[in-house]
Amino acid sequence: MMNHQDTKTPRMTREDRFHAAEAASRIAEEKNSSSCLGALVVKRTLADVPVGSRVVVESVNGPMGARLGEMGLIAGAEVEIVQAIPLGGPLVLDRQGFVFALRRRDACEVRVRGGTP
Amino acid sequence: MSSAVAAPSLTVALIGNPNCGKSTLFNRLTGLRQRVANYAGVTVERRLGRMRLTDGVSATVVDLPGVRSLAPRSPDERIAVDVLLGRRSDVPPPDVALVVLNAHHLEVGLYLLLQVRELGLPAVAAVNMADETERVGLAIDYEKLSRELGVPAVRTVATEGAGLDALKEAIAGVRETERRPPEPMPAPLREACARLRTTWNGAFSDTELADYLVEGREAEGASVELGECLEAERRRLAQTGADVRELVVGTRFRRASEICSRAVAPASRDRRGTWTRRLDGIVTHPIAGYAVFLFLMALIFQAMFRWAEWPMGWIEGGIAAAGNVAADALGPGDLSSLLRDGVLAGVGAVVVFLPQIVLLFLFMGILEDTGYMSRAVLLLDRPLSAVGLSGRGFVPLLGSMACAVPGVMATRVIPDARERLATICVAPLMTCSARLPVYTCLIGAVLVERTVAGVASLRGVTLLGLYLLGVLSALTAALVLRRTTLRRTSTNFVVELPPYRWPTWRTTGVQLWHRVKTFLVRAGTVILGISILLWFLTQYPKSGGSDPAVQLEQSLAGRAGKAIEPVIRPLGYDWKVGIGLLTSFFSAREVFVSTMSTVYSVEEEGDGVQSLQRRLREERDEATGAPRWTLPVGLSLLVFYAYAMLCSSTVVTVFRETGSWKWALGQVAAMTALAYGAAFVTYRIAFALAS
Repeated sequence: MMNHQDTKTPRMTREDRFHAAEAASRIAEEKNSSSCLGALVVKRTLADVPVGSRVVVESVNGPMGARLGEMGLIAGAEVEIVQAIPLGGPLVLDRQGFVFALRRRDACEVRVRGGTP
Repeated sequence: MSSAVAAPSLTVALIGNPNCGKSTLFNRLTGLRQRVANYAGVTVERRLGRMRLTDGVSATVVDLPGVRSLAPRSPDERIAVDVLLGRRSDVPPPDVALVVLNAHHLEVGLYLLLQVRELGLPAVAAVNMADETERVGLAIDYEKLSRELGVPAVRTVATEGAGLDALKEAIAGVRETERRPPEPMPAPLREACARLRTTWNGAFSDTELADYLVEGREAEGASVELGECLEAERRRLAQTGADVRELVVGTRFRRASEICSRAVAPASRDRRGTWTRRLDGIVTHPIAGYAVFLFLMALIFQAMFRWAEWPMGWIEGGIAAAGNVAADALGPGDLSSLLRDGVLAGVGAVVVFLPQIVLLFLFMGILEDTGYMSRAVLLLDRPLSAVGLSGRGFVPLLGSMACAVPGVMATRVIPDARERLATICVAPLMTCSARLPVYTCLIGAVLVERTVAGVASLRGVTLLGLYLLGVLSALTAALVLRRTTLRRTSTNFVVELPPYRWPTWRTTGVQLWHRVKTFLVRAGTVILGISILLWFLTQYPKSGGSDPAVQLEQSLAGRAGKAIEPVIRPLGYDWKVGIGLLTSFFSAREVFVSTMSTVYSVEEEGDGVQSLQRRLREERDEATGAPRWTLPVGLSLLVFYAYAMLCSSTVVTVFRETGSWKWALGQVAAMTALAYGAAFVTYRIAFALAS
């Protein structure tokens, strides 16, 4: 029956399922974290900070969370946003010399604080 | 592995992150004594090699795929865990894990090392590329690192072969040590794992179960049953306020950071070389980046289509000469014909593309080894994600411009299974080099050369249009597939941008050799077999006469061509074209030109293609006397060749890479239908416009 639900939501299936499973572990105040539109609120994500800023990661969510964690994107990590590929392309991050890129959709799931250029 | 003397032998599993120099180290340790195959049931490459340890003990080295972690997320990672735990029957259980770490990013590598240790396997750490870190002033205390890790840590520079002896010594020594119990994990997690072991599977270790918990239902290869067990435990943990991911991944990475901070003195200079920073400023720049990319692509195509012309000419000449020598030596008859038109033509059909393929592989190898390829993947992710692929699809699609066989094989770098299938499905639509001779021959035969828009040549523009048609069709097909059968499941895109470095001849050369060899074996064996079969089909039954055209008409192939004539009539083709289509389908596209030469009895010597083109223009319809090879027929045939899967090597490769005939044959059916439809429409429209 799970599959029926999937076919009705053709896009972002994995995300949807992930959020459903994750929902229980979320605290009520984190409602905004899954959407970039929530950026208007105080909480900022990696996708909202300008190129050249240095930020500290607060939390990493979303389906890519574990993979990003293995690359050092964990709570407390300090990263620099090095480059943004135009037209909504990936973001390039530098964490202590380890440089990697992630899609903006996944960057929306990374909450950050700070932001000194 | 049989050996005359029953010397003590151990098995070493070589594991490490991508971009840590693992392959270079493997080549250094084993020389070229390696065997490459696939793991049974999956398309993960299995590489085995032999090395001699210092004390006369030899070892089998298993090169595991490059992975960041042992989490159950892709076939690569599952294989790595299974091999490390000795669960696979096609690889002996390893005695030691040799973990290769990139000295630049010790933490990231240590994460994997800690996971290996948690499995309880004795390990040795090779801290590779140490010279580059030392140059930027990063000092690693190897003794301290060994103590902190509880495993020997050895400084290596694989490209220069430095540290190999110390590494072998450490491997020989470590097997004596006992398997250490894994590090204790946080209490709630341990309890969850204990429960999982009773509800689901007692054979799994805590480490594995913890990583399964992180992935939950999405874990690679997890059954519905396991998924439910995992989700139940995740819910239970969530109720206690525990974040599974933080407990497993966060704790492990923090431990790696801690070890790293104790053993490594911080860099005195910028850790990322200033060169890399400066170059990336240009190469990933929103405008300049794409300009550099286009320039490099233009360079590659220039090389493939201009520079490769000369060696291709020599190879063609050489094959023809060899055929004549054989014919002179054996005299006329079936044997010399089989040798010349069957065996040599078959070998030639593959070998003639070797210069283009070697050049493309060489460029791709250089781009990979310098680190540019991951920048290209980065730049192309946005455009390719619009059609449901990702930046990683770029390498296979580029490779398919030379030949779809290596292109399809290159899709192994795509971690997402559905995305990989979609890329495999559309790769043969890219214009491969085997289409080029067909295109040139047909364009020359039916199009009168004139200048369009004042500068460009009509024939050149048509050829360019056919290349664009290939790219656009591939992208459109990907879009359709990702919206229907192969619906997108995840984003799954993270790419590391390693520092730029000069390619070494050793690494690039060895890889080039392996790629070319794999291509020759894959494509060569199929084509050779089929061209011998094809020879029989065109030679038997004997017509009795000496005219090759009559012989072809009488042969099984000729009869088959006539049999399919009613089907291809609506596209404007007669049975002669039918023979060309059939021979193309059973061997490769470029065979069309030589088949047409035989059908129309054109001597292939001298200006072979030009005389064929002249002959095609002179051909009249038997009934009406009107020219047979009109513009509509030519255009329709060009479109047919752009879409149809007329290549048996690709079909076989797709079967091997997907592991199912369903995909391989489905692709043939879909592409044939597409080709038929498109050619029909083209013929009708062109016919209507011409009359």
